[in-house]
Amino acid sequence: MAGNRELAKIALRNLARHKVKTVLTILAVMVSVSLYIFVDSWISGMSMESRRNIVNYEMGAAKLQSKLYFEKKDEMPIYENFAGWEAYQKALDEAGYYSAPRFVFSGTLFSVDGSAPIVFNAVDPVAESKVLRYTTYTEAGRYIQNGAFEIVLGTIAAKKLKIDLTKGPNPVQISAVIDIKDSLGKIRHVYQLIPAVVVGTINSPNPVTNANIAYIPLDVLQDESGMMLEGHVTELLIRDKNRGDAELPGKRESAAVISAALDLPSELGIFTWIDYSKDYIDYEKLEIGATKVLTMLLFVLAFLGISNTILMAVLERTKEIGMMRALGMTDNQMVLIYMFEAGFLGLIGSIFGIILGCAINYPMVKYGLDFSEMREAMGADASFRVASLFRSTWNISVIIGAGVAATLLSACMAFFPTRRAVKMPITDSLRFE
Amino acid sequence: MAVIKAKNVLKDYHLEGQTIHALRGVSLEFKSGEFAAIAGPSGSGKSTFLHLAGCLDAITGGTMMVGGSDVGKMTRKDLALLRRHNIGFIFQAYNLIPVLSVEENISFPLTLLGVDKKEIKERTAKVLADVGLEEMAKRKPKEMSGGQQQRVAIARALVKKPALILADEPTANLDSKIGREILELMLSLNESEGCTFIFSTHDQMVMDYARRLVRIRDGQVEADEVK
Repeated sequence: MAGNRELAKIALRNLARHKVKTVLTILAVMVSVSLYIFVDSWISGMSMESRRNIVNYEMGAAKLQSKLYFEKKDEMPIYENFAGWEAYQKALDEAGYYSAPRFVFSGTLFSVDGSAPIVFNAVDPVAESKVLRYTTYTEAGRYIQNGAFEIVLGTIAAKKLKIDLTKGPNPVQISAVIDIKDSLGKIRHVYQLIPAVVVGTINSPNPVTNANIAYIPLDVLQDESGMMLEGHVTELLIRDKNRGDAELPGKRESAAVISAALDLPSELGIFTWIDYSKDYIDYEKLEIGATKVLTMLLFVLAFLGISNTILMAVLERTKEIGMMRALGMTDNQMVLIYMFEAGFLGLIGSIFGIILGCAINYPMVKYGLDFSEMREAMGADASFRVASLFRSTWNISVIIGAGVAATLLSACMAFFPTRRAVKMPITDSLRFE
Repeated sequence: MAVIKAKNVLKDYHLEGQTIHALRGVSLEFKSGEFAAIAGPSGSGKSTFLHLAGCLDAITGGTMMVGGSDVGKMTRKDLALLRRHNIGFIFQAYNLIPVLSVEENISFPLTLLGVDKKEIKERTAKVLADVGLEEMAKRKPKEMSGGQQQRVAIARALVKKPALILADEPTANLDSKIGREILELMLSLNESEGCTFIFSTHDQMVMDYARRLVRIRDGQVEADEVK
């Protein structure tokens, strides 16, 4: 039996027959592989960064919340709140978790020069800074303090409201509707106007915190001069004390493990960041899928190129194929030679593609690209939670996988044209012109 | 011992709805060590017979035994192995592998047979010397003349010491001087190595060299003369 090495040697030499065609085909594979690596690394980087940013800046690892609130969370049903959160906070603290109470409501914020619809987060500034990291990203001014009607705004909201912290105090008015559920389950609406002062703006790596969002101390909203909360909150954000910012929540921050540390009534539940970020995760899947389909189209083009190259080679060497079969080569060996040839095109293209892909990727991983202006224009949508610096990440399995897949797929592209050629009677092959 | 035993062999081709009877009941037997030519005008069926004897094409009827095996009953793979082990081909157009050097072309059949490297080297060197091309071992086919390429093709057919070498008009592309040299070479190899040579030809010189001359016309044996 002829060793595969011998067949591979012939295949390799065949590549030198039409150098220009070989180079062009290799280039096509190279571009496809490098682009695939680049796009995948970018999306993976964005995905990882977004997930970290959701956990570190937006909501922590999980929320303790009314189950009814979670069901209707898109409507922001503030009447589905709960009291007695202090006991849960204590239990969580003892179990090794930080927690931060919040009352989230929507309303309109009026400044001297404008107004904007805003999502208000009434927070405990001290607890908040233990669970989330946006508190250290005050672009101007400072973060809020307990006991004062102070507000920090997302930079986008601050711009809309023409807040200028360099020119003295910035008084604002919060206009909100308080929805109160009475004992019969009927919801009453109470309109409330709350004066406050903007003391800072937030510009964190998560665009959600920088959008039409405001943070206000929870303690000042308890009585009638505030939101009449009387100790109620809509959620308690939770974070493992020992988890670093670079890590994503693990098993310890799962709903089951956190719930086990608490004695929760049936109406309350633990909802993880994944439960809460379904929209984002769906978006991420869609984005990744769409981008990969586009990149795959490039792959398809490259493989059509390889298929064409092999088809032409098979046609051009029909006589030679006949001769080699006359010498005793089996159909499978003939097919293997051409699969080797196509595989080599894929392999060489892949190697160069990996080198090029990594070369393009390196600055994207190390320095990233600043898209802050574009993000500002987009506002806080459900897209990637990266405010300015888009960074790629190294994904070794994809880099190697893309190369291996391109090589194997290239080899497969030779199968059908060669298979058809070896079905031709040898005498016809030998007469072929 | 019969290397080829053809009994009432038929071969039809179908071209544009027409059936062409290329061989109409050919019965021939070639014994080991023969140096024979099959002659006839174009379209007589001589090349067709050679192709069938070389298992390059399938018979339409009759029986064709090659090296004792009934080729009509063999699979594609078995036919490939039969060709690999027992038959050497010399083509009119040389049909060398352009990307391989002379010595690689010659050693290729041995590689197919799985002969070990040392033996391949020795046997290749010997046939290269036999065909007088030792100095050209590293050249590519395109760097050689037609006569030299045909010598390489002969060396390639010989190197595996097959029971049968089939040469389809081996001198057709060569001038008479080179053609004579090639025939002398094949004759001497036939005598020294004892392998059977069968030519298809319409070249009088080849017919003169042959020890047996089979004449075919219109797909039938017209004459079979042992000199």
